[in-house]
Amino acid sequence: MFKRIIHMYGLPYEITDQREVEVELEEGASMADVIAAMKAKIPALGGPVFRTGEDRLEELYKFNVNGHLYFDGMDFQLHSGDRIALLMPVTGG
Amino acid sequence: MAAGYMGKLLFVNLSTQEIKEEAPDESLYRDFIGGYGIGARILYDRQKAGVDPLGPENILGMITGPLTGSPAIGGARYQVVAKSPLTGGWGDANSGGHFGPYLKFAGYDGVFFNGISEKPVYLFVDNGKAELRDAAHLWGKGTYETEDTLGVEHKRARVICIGPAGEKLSRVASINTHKGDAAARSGLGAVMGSKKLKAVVAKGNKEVPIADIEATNKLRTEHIEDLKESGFLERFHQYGTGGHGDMSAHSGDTPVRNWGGIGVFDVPDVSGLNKDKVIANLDKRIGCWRCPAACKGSLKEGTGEYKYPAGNHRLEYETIGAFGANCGNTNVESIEMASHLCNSYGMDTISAGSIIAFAMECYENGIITKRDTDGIELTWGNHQALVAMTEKMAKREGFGDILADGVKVAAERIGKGAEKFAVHAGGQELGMHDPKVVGHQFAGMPSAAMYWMNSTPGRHSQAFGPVSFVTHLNNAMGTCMIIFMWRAARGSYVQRMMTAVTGFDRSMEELLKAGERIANMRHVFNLREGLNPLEHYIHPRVCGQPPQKDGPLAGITMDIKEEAWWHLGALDWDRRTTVPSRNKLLELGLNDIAEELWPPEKMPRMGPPV
Repeated sequence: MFKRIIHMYGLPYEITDQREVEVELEEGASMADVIAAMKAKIPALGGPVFRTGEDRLEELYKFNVNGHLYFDGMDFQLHSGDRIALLMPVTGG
Repeated sequence: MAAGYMGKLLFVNLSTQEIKEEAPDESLYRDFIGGYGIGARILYDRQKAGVDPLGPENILGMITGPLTGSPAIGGARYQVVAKSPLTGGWGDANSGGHFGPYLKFAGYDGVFFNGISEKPVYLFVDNGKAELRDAAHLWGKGTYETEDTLGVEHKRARVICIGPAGEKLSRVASINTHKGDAAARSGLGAVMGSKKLKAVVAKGNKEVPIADIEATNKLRTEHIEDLKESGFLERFHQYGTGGHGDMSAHSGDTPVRNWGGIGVFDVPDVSGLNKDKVIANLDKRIGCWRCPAACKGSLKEGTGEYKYPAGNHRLEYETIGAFGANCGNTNVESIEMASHLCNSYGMDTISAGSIIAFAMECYENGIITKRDTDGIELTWGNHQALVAMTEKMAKREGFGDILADGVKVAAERIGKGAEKFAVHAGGQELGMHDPKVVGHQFAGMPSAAMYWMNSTPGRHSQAFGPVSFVTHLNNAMGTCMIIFMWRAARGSYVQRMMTAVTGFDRSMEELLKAGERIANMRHVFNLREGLNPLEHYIHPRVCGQPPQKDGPLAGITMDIKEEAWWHLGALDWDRRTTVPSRNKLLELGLNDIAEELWPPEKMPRMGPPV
């Protein structure tokens, strides 16, 4: 197990009023594991950011893990020392 | 002639003052739809390669689309085309407001200018007649005053015009209407200024012919109901594009400190850019012609530190980004003032804000000092300095004259290594969306290569790969990329609306093929100018080189060559020369261009050598 702070930028911050969340994860945690851990800490993310009743990202939200972006349908294995952040969909105008 | 069109184009030679009317063959409308589709075909056919963008041979066109002035929601736009003085290649820009529909009510789908007038003039298009009139009394005037004066002289007319920036040939000058709607990209205001053409005024009561008015009105109602049910109409009416400046400054969307900063660290408090601050001084909401969203706004007179006049447009996102986080600035009133200066003097807010950011970084790094900047301290976030220098730039005064032609030219004038802070693609400052935030979804979405490979490099709103065909179609139809395309993105709406309005019964595939044809036309214009997009400069920061060390975009770099190769392959353009394949050109019906680009001596030979 390891603890990881996940930074939230843009809309996730607007929704939760929190810039970051600390979660406890197993070595090699998948995207679904990360989402489940985040939802357990901040249930308000369920619905707008994570799909209701599923451990999946809503469309166009993404994680930045060590400089690589991961969208719904992609996966990663997170290890201690990895950098991870939750980003919002791109905006327009 | 298909419905949706007035069936006539105007050609004005400003050198001889001769005005001709032409009724193009229906195939021009069918194959190139309208807007810059028709513009690209006409400029390719009637203009030589290598002309001076500010010389008499450059043709400047203003063209509507078949849905402009129709009941289609968002059908209020017109496109401007010419060779760009900013990039040296294909230039286009567009705007909403009311002018596009009024040009059609005056009887014309578009108007093209060549030559240079001896003295300032404006074109008055009045219900099927057109004449050049003296504009001496307007020369030197701002865009608001020009619109007001011409509005009094020509009741019930609509005006597009340039301000002093266009007259003084600033390569980031815009063409404005509706006191704040601007066809601003590509520096086409300078082309208008070079021709001594101050304005175009359109007036008339001709009806846009509609093939099936009942079906068209039904589609409009369907669109409105959909907009209401989804909540989109209310949200968009409230804030327009100005509702997310604060979020975008922290999410990695808006570039920060000339594309080199990180929002959460360099502008930690973005509350000044909050949506409610953006509408705090709002007087009323205003819209383009017959648009139910009325997503724009008109402000009351500025009564705080910045005394802008009543009627100043409420900020749009791009302006908030360019003069906001990109300059390290979160003072919304200063951005409103800078926006007013740009609109009044006729200057692109994306480029102008980006130039100020460039100048601030040069100042912070000692490349320029107070002695260069007429005593103005161009430090990050210094909003008084930002406003003062924007005004100097608009007037071409002092150091503003150095800056007034974009960052590429400014860096050349300043020297001393300033080019390393000149963030541009192919000569043009970039739209306010950092492509690194989109990353892997580059196929059709914003990406660094989209800015790089675009025929007007630096444009942020024309998509990438085959998805760009949709954007080109939208711009050719004369519709709004937000409100029309929001509905069109789902189902067969575009195909149904185009059939109802024009009577051409075409499939979506055929319409997208027209979008692809337009993409090829813009591109071959540039090829003829000797421009290969793979040789365009793009600032490495845009691609994450070096990658940011922290924040939302930490570690992200983009391989723009990989993206470009995908784009070129998807379009069937050569991956080295970028020349479209012969088969592709023939498939698109561009047989004459296939013959030019693939003459017999270039064709592979079969059989034994002769």
